Amino acid sequence: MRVENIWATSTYEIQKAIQNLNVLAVSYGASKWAMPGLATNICDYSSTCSLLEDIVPYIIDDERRMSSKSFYESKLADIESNYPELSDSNDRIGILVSRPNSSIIDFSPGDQTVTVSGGISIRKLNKFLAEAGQCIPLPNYPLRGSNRLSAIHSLGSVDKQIYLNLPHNHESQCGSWRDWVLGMKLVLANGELVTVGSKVVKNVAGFDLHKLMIGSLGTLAVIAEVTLRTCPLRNLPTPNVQEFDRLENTTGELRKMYTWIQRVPLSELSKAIDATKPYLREVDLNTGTLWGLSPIEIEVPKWPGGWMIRDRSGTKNMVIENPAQIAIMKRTKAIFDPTNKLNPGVFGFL
Amino acid sequence: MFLLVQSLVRNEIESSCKSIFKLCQKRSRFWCKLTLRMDFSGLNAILKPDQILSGAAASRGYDCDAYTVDRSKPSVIVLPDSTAEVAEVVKWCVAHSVPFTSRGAGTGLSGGAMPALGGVVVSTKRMNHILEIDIENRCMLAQTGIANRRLTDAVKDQGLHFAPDPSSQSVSTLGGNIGENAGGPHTLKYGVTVQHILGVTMVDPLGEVLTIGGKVAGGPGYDFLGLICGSEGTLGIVTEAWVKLTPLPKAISTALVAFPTIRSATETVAGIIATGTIPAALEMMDRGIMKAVSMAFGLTYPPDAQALLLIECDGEDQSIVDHEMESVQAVCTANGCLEITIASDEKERARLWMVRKKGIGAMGRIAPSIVTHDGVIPRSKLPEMLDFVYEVASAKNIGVANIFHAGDGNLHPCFYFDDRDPLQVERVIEAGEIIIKKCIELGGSVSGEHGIGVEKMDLMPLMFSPADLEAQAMCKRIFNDGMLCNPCKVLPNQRGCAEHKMRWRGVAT
Repeated sequence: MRVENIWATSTYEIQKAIQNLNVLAVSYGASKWAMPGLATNICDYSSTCSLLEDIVPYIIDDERRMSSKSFYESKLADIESNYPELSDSNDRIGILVSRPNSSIIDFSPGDQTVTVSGGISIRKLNKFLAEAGQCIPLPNYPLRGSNRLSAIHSLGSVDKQIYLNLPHNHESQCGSWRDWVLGMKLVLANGELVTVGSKVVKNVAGFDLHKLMIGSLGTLAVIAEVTLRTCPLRNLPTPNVQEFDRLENTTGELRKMYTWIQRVPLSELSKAIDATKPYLREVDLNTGTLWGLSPIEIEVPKWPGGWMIRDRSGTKNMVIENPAQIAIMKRTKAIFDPTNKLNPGVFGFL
Repeated sequence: MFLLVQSLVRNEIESSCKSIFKLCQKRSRFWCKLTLRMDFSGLNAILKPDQILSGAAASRGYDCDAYTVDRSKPSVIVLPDSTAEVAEVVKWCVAHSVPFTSRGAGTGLSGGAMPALGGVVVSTKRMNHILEIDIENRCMLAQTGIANRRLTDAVKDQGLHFAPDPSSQSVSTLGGNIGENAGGPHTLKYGVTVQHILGVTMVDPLGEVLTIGGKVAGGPGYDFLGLICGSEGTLGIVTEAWVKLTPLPKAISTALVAFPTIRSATETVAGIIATGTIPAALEMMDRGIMKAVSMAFGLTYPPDAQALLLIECDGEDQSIVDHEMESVQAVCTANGCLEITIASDEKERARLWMVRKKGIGAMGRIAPSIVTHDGVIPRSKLPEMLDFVYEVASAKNIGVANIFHAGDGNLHPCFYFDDRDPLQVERVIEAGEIIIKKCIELGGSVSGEHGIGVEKMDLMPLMFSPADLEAQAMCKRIFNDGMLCNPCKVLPNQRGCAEHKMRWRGVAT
């Protein structure tokens, strides 16, 4: 077995990697949203490695510390040298780092559209757009701080944010990725590069494959380029957010906690807040979204009528309850990625 | 001797080719007649007699939508009352290999409701009820046969509305809006239909009922709603939908501005967007529309005006809206406008909107027929594109009037002509293709609002490579892996469709 780090500086590298590998781990979001399912599937795939379970998520998620290529290579060298039994199998596994592929390809201020490579960070993009008085209207969270929730948004690159599609506090007035993504260039699981959508703000030509990528956790295709619609900087709304006490201050055990996000109908919001109060950190009153941190042993109740996602919780991370949705997702995955090459196991059932 | 054998062989090959060709023609006609002669009495077990229409007159009435160039008769039209009945009809169609096509009000402009291979038309006209209104959560559950305007009417006095407002909103159905991802003048600020759909109940092409989404937006998993909206009825039949309700703006300010040249108007459009204001609507009309509307309704405009801009700003606070309108006016004056009229009350606002809402209908005063094309280009290319449209019209010797959503770069050139003259019809179709090709060349898209349907199916390869179209075909296969659910739409080169194109055009074979 060979585990490689794919430092993707261009679309071509991504295509080459996909064509040459059996499994490609596509990073999505910071802070451990990756499920151990990914590693478990890789393990099942190559028969014996409960050991990879610890290492692969660590490598994918801790990109913040993985600022150098050599750090990655040393980690991978560890796997190979410490677990010689793995070298017997023929699996070729790659871990895709898209951050090097971060250029601004095209920007039209008059049309309010910008085309970027997938790996560009939101921070860099917004800094560039600010010069023209425009932005991607995600709230500007502080880069460092004890609020771990802020880390989720501030460290993302565009492709990871799209794969993960987390709620944010400007959503009720500015919309989210479904409203901003106009078109994409995707690398499919067979290595082919396809263009979907368009570069204009209004388009109904054909099927909107780019919409399917939103929230896909990198399981259907790799986003090489994306065209986004920008918003004027001066019209950013004020978030309507209610904050609660920091649980991590009282217990001090930040590492042994998981982040959870729930969205409930507005009519149920006050009841949901009461039910989850001890573990609640922040509530967006416009969209009915609750964010919180909870110790790993505590099960925060999921309020009925909405949805909930968590991190660090294994198969409970992205629970999908609608059996019809599960069935269609399996069909989609079978069509786009029949050999289960991209991020196997992240949804649990895929 | 050798030459004799050669010529005999050649004749043999020619004649057998001719007979094969005739056989193919006969086969396609045979295939159609097969469905026409089929026994549809099995549907009587599912639906009541008044829910089934058949016969020559009925078929003629449902053979096309508002895109009348291509027509294809269905065998039977059904009007189910509920999702369960739709599911039973689809299951019957699948069991008997009969194609089926869903239809709302039939106001589509690309042939989406045309039953391309005949079969059954499933009309949603009787499924027009509102099932649940949830004011506190700002959403509503409605059957998809309901007219768009009725959704807003139901919640208007609570200060809410359904934002997508296509020009056909008084008749077009929610289902059609979802299928085409409908826009309208207010999409510049409020977004297209997909941004207002929270969940759907859909009958898939095998007759299973799926529910995707619900009252609450978002959630883990793939965004199938984004795929279903805009799928033009090819992924199944959407029977119910949860729609998002948007608060009605408390303050609105509408202005109608006349310009001496087209260029000054298009430059004003760019100028307004550059100030950072997003108007709720930014529409443009040219001389042809002005003439039609004056003839039809007696409205008058400055005689030297070549273009009109209809600008609407809205918001929560009257002072902010007035401030926005002032900056808009400043841009207009800077670009040399002739006249600015600002509506002082609701009645005057309706009068100012007349030129936009009734513009296309009023074209009937100028010529017997019009064809409204639909293309989209980046906003910054608007001046160049408009000049091109006028050039094409004069080269093809047909009149053109332009009315469109200038803010989105979505053009609707209306060619007016006499459709009794087939040469004129041909020139109009050619002009449309030339304009669409130019749109793609300028970085735009083949369709901004009307959809692909059958009208623009063959233009898809101009915008998408074969690999891109194959990826889109993969999307379609997620739900629809067969040839029965609204076949021969959107994607070109579908099996068994090419031989029917002549029949749709009315060119007899």
